[in-house]
Amino acid sequence: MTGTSPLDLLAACLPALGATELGRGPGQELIIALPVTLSDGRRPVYQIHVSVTGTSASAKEVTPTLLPAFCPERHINADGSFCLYWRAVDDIVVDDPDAALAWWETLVRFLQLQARAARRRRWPEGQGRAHGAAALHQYRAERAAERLGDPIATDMQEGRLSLVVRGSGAEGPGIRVMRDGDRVYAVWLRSRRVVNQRRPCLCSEGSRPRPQTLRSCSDHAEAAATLALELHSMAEQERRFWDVFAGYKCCGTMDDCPLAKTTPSPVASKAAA
Amino acid sequence: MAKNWNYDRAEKHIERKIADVKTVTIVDYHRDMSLENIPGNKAYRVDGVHIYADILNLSDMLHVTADEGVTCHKRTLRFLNLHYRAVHRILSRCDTRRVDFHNQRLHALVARPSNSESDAEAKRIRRAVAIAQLIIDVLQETGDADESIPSAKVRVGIDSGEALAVNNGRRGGREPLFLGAPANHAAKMSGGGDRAGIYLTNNAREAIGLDTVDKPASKALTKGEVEECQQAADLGVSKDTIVKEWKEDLEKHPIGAFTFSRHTPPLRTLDITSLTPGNSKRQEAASVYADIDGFTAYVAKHIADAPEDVVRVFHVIRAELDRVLTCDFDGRRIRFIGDCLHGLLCDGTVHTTDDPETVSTATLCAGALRSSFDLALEKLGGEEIDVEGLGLAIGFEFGPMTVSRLGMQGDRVRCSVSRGVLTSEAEQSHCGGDETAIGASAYDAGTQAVRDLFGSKRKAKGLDYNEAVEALSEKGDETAAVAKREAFALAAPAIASASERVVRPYTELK
Repeated sequence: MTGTSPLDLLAACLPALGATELGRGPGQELIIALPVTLSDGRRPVYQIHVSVTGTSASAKEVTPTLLPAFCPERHINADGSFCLYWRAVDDIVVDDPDAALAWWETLVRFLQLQARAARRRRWPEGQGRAHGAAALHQYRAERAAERLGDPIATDMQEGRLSLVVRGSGAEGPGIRVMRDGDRVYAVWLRSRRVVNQRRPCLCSEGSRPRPQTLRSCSDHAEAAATLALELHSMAEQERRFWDVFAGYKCCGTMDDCPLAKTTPSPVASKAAA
Repeated sequence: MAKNWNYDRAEKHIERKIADVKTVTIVDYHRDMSLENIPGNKAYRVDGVHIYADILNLSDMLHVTADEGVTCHKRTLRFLNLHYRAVHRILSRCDTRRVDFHNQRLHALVARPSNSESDAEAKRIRRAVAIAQLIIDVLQETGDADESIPSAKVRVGIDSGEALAVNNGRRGGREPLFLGAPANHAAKMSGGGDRAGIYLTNNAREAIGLDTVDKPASKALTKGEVEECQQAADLGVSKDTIVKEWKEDLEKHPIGAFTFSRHTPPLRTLDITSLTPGNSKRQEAASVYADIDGFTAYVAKHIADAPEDVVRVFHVIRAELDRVLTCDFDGRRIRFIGDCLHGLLCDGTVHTTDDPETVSTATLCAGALRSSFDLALEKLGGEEIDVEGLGLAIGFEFGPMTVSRLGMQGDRVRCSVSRGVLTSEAEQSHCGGDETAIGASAYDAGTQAVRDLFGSKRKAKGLDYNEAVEALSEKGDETAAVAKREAFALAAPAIASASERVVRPYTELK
């Protein structure tokens, strides 16, 4: 620690951001005007309320003006705060100038992504974590995909993998892992193993003229099973997440938002949680 | 300097163009008025008959060889050139106004007799039908067997009514362009099928006493109906005379052999007015079509109560799209086809085209066209001008492109034709007002980032410039990365650094 408070560390970064301090709140709070340059030269100015608890900082719009008040798809929590990162893995501890600057850069990038999301009505591909507890299973699935290497690792990163659960034999239902709608492989849910382990491996060794089989290629049979099972758990947790928010008003700014299906009359305007 | 789009630059230009058309005058057209050089803030209300004639076998010409090589292009240009010359002769003998010749498509206007004569509209329509038949008959004899050039198969669409004539030209151009239902409906009739013949809209059929039909684009005029029109119109010139004069003219002024050379990129510096068959351009490039979606309905909705706004919207959007293509991306506008812009883009050297870079530039340019279009609508809306229902459909393709000028000496028409040009137009025509489509060849020639952006369906929704730059650069597209660096060159240092940061936002259960 440098002896300077996290709030002062954050405030010290404002000149580098071209931001202006508008005031301070009663506690560890900072209100600023933050112009965010975009790749097309636009510079929307956000009025941001920053609050600090210990060495953790959080941000939200002073009043929801340029962003919805609540939108899980746009990573805006029910209290209006921005969920900039998953603390379990990506936490930023604001205890020195570099960390303070990293926190600001994360916020700015988050706001740049918001402009893209608003235009295309979906969150930019591969730039977010799954919701709620699903993030843990996504994290584990990503690690499993990394063990398998490309092309599965890139498919996972780009959100091209999906699941179909089908059948109910002695081994229980099978989880089919699909890439862009085409079956890649399947895993038995009950025995937690790949259905056909003599198939070519999912890694680059499997596409050679004499391919390695999945079961004989490093730990890839186990990684493939883990990937499928974690994707399955991730999907379950996603459903639970949206169940919790069923009945919340949809802001109407994102296509295919699960909230839109549970909101009686979705509105295009900003929503109140 | 990187090719890029910038909000402030676009805003300044759009505001200037809006100021240029602050005052718009609409006047009724009389026969003694000139349709040349109409001022930008003026439009003529013209009651006339619009003829669209499509040469149906152009695509066959382009596919006469397996590869789209020099021979294929030479034959196609010669094919068009022979027919342009013949049509030119017909139109001038029949006192008919050529509006444009856009590759396989002719647009002409019959404005006489004027409404001061009795039954003027029916007379104009009959005259148009007689001219259309003359075109069909003449073009059946203007092939060239020695050069393997077939005769043209022609399909004609005709409609009649009021349209607004505005200036189609930019920077020295002077030809008129017609906004309104009759021009568009005639085009729909000619483009509405692959059978030759003359097709009238129900509106035009009724005006000459024919029964209306359920599907006018499927019901060609009968031989008897055409003959009635020919007798009534009495054009005073026959097919044989035109063909004879055309042959004599070809002997006196033979079409020079087509010779191609490359233009050193950027194409912006290509002086199309200096091109001739003997000095034509041919190189790998991207062809871009950007069409204002919903504009026909928009014109129909406003032509009676707010024609001034139609002219404003048209001029402001077109001028801005032209600026983006030309000034921001160093492209070359070939022409405006009504509310549609056709242009070419090329990156590379004097000897070779940089294929992936050209496709990346075309992708960024497509995004920029949409950003400018959106901004123009926003600014026009701010002036209390209704812009409801307008969109921009964009298609582009990559491949060998030609640029030349065809037709009669002293009245040559610019022409850029190739498989890629036709494909880019087709890709655009399959898009909605918020969609951008990439042709299969451009998709294959592009970087992985471009392929990922468009996906296997080769179409992207809501693709503006910001999205194009961000999506391409984050996947390693160097052309986009350079454009992005340029955009943040003057930004606060932490903002510039933030733009390269990888973040993964989350959503808590709270």
